[in-house]
Amino acid sequence: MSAHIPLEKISQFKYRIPSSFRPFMRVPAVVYASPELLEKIREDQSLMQVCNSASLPGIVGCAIAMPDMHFGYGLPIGGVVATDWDSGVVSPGGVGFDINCGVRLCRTNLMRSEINEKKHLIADMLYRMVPSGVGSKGKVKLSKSDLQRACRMGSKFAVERGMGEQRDIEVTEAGGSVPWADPEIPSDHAYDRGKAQLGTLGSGNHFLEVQYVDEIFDEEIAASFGLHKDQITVMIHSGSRGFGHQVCTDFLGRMSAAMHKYGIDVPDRQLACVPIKSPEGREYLGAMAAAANYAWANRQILMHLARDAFMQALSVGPKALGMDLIYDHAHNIVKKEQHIIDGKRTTVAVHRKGATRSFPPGHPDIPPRYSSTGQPTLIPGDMGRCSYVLAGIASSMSESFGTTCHGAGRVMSRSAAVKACRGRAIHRELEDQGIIVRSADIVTIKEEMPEAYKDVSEVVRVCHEAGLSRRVARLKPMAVVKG
Amino acid sequence: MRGFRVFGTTADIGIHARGATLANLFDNAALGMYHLMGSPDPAAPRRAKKLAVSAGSEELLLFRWLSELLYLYDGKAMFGCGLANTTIVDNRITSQLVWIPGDRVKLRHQLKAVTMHRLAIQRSPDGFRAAIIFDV
Repeated sequence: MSAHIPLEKISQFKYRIPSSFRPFMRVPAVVYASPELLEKIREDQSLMQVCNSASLPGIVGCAIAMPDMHFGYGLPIGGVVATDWDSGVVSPGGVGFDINCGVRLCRTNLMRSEINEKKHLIADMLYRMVPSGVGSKGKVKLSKSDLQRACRMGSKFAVERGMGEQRDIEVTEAGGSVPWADPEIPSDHAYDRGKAQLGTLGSGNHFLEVQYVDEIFDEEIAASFGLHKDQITVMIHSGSRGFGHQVCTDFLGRMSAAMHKYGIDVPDRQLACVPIKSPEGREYLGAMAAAANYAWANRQILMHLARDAFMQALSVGPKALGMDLIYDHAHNIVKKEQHIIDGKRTTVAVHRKGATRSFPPGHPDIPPRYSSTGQPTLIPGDMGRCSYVLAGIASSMSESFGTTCHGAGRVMSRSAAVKACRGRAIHRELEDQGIIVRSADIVTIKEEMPEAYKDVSEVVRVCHEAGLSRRVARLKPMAVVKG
Repeated sequence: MRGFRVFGTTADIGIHARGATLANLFDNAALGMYHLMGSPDPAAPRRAKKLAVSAGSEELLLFRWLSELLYLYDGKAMFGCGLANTTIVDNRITSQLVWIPGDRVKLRHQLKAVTMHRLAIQRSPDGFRAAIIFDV
């Protein structure tokens, strides 16, 4: 569907679409991919979407797409766009509906051999204790003022209530709280949707996975992250639930109506945007940050529930379990950052949608404990193959505003996946491979079948080879709770 | 015959809705969205709620209308199973939503949001058509 789009090969894994391709493009677009991935990328409209995003007023550098890119709304999933903080725009479509959808990875003291016979028990306990699936509700009833506190404090909201430790906050992006959040801005609709969903995994591609470290690529960095071969890890993928979805919906409508006031025209209505410094722009950033903080509180609570589930399933205490957070980061967010643009330090709004910040060693925005290794970057794959731990490297700052991929990226629609599963029992196939899956809905398991995704190993190989991040370790699934 | 048809995108799902009038189109788009979300328990008690939504254009009105119905389910546990007396005048829709409690629905998909991707209302000799994609 994107066969007509010209791609100039710049290096082995880097392609450029010149700004002359469409009159509305203010800058070129750059796509990181291998020939195998490009073939799949060309099957949907995502290349056109990255070209569309090059039209955003105030865009700097180029519009960028990661190797896991696929069709999204406005910006494709896997898209990265930076706009000048003083003269550029902010676009909710550059962040996505699930604001601060992100990933958290915990280490444990457990080894694969210790839990292999008990993984059914662990999966059952996780499924029982962590609310998941369509329509799931959290275990804590919260007032609007409680929720506003969560939106201001992020992870600290949960830690303050005994659901985690101070050290968790130290290894969460932005300390688990964007400081410019304004909880007064999100609508009552957002609070109504968010009040029963804090501490829930959600549905679709969200999951909680018990994994083991299958391979180490960089011993030194892996050791600094606290990882070693055959160790058990726990990965959580979730976001800001209905709260964030409503914030995006509200501002998409508002910006779509307000754009003409600022003389802005974009080729795709889903890229609706306004100047960052306009009243609508400032309000979106305040509301988006509130939703981002909600998501960090959510993942902090989910980690606490997972820790309790492990302790109950294995009858062990917290010290023996040793479930400590390695890192937590967003992959749907806009951040105020400084980057070198045309040789000049410039403050920009980096929109990452299905793309992960991956800052290098020594960067001031990463936790001191990772200052020599680079930021841990967590890349979930599908539930049948593997996930990766990467580390930020210096070259990504000039290549991609310090950004790498976010996952495998879908290649098959949900209905195509269900069709492809006809006559197959995916959960049994996975169990035969030693992977226990628990989900309220068999259709979700079919929709999320491994073949519905690109091969995450190929995506990660491209990021490693293209200098977007460094490969550190590979994790393989043992038990999965699907949302 | 239903006034909508389901289709898939790479990651999400959508509906093609149609209607002899603009109001029919909006009703069918809503029923299509509820179809994606789940199946109501036929024995559940039904209640009615009057709704009114405004916007600056027909397309934006469709986006806001469906977003409001999605909110009523996700935020107020009101799952629609019918609409009555829908009228649209000057980009303002009024309608009566027939709803059942959200816990009396066999859920299928959790829709995050209505998208504006290629959202356009097309007129044809037999009425109105629109394609709406939902983020799942």
